[in-house]
Amino acid sequence: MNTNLATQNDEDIVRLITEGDSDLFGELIDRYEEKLTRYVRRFTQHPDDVDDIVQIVFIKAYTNLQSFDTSRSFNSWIYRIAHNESVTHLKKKGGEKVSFIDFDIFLPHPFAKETADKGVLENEIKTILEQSLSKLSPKYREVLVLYYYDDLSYQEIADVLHIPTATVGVRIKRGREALEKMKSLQIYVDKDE
Amino acid sequence: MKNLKSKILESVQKNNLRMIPKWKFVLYSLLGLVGMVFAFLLIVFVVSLILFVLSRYGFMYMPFFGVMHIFQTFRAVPVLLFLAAVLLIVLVEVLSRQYEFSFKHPLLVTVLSSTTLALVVGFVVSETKMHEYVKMYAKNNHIGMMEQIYDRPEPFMRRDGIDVIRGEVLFSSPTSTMLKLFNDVEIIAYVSATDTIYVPPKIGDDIVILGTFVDDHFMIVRVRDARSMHFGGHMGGRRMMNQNIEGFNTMMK
Repeated sequence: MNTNLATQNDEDIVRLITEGDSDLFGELIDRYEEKLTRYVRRFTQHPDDVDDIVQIVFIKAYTNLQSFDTSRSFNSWIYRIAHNESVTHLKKKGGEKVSFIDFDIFLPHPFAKETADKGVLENEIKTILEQSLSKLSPKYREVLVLYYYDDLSYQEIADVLHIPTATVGVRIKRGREALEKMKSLQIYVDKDE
Repeated sequence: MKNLKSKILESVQKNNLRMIPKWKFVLYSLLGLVGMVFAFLLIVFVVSLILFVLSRYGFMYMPFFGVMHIFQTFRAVPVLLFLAAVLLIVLVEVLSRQYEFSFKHPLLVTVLSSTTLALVVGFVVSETKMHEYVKMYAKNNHIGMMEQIYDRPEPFMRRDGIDVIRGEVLFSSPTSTMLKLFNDVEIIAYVSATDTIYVPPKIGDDIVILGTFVDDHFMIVRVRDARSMHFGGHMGGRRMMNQNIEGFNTMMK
């Protein structure tokens, strides 16, 4: 069975695990450990706690696996667990104000299409993002990390964060604007120095 | 030092880490759904109760006496019931937010949709006999609190003294009319001003009187037939007014 694992998608593997082949959960850990570690590290900005958070994510994923609907995306589902754990962690630490209910989910926005310039600007934004991540509000930091580093679509990000798809577009746009502002401020400071 | 994968798989093999059985998720999901449906039904009940009470005591018909009276209709909305309806809408919103049909839409859209739905269904329910039966049940079984919610609401911050009563005509004369209100209270309404257009209604008629309370007396300003104002029966009401005016003119002759 293991020889076929590479060709199996996540949802099929989940089906096999829930039917009794629990060792296959190791395959899901292989597939997601690195991604989730990266996501949690960038989102929480607490490198010391990342391993603990990721471990909790996998434990929760395993214990709640029977609740997963295999017709949906496992990727979004496990990222949702990671999001919840990261938010809980940020709230516990209390260093940053985490507020995900605000006006951008209250009002309807014109639907923003996934930007065609993603490929062109991706590297530039990733560079600025890496430098300024800790200065961004968690609300914008998370969508930018999910979009630019984890390559999730607007739809998948909406599923992870439980927000309207148009709101994802708005947050990415505002997050990028904030980054650009930081970048121009940095240039100004560099010139002064 | 063990890596994450072997740690978790070892816990699984030792049975320290177990999956929660599917039936528990089905049960939680069902309970959540039942809670949401129950909360929505409760909103419908509260909204229909508000509309029913406003209609039975005549406040709903105040705009038919002039658009400016629409504020008096709003002032008569029972504050506690209104707050209960708002809290229930919030509860439904919180419970439904875990479902895709809700979180994929802006909060404003889902709140407006559930409010509109509650208003429409509540209006339909208020037009049925349901609340009459509930009130009768409360009265027969002496459930005081239930009886109280069907009592006449006291309008909030009434400024101009204009009020309204609705009820069945028990007695009628050229100078006064005795009404039995929905809460079984009997009120005598008197013709006060000489310019009041008033024709004594028939006994048994269901009428709405616009006027003012002066001590224990209700002074008539205008009278309309309740049924004629119902469900867009505005024209019917106007017809009755015309009949009143004709009657008044005949009396004057």
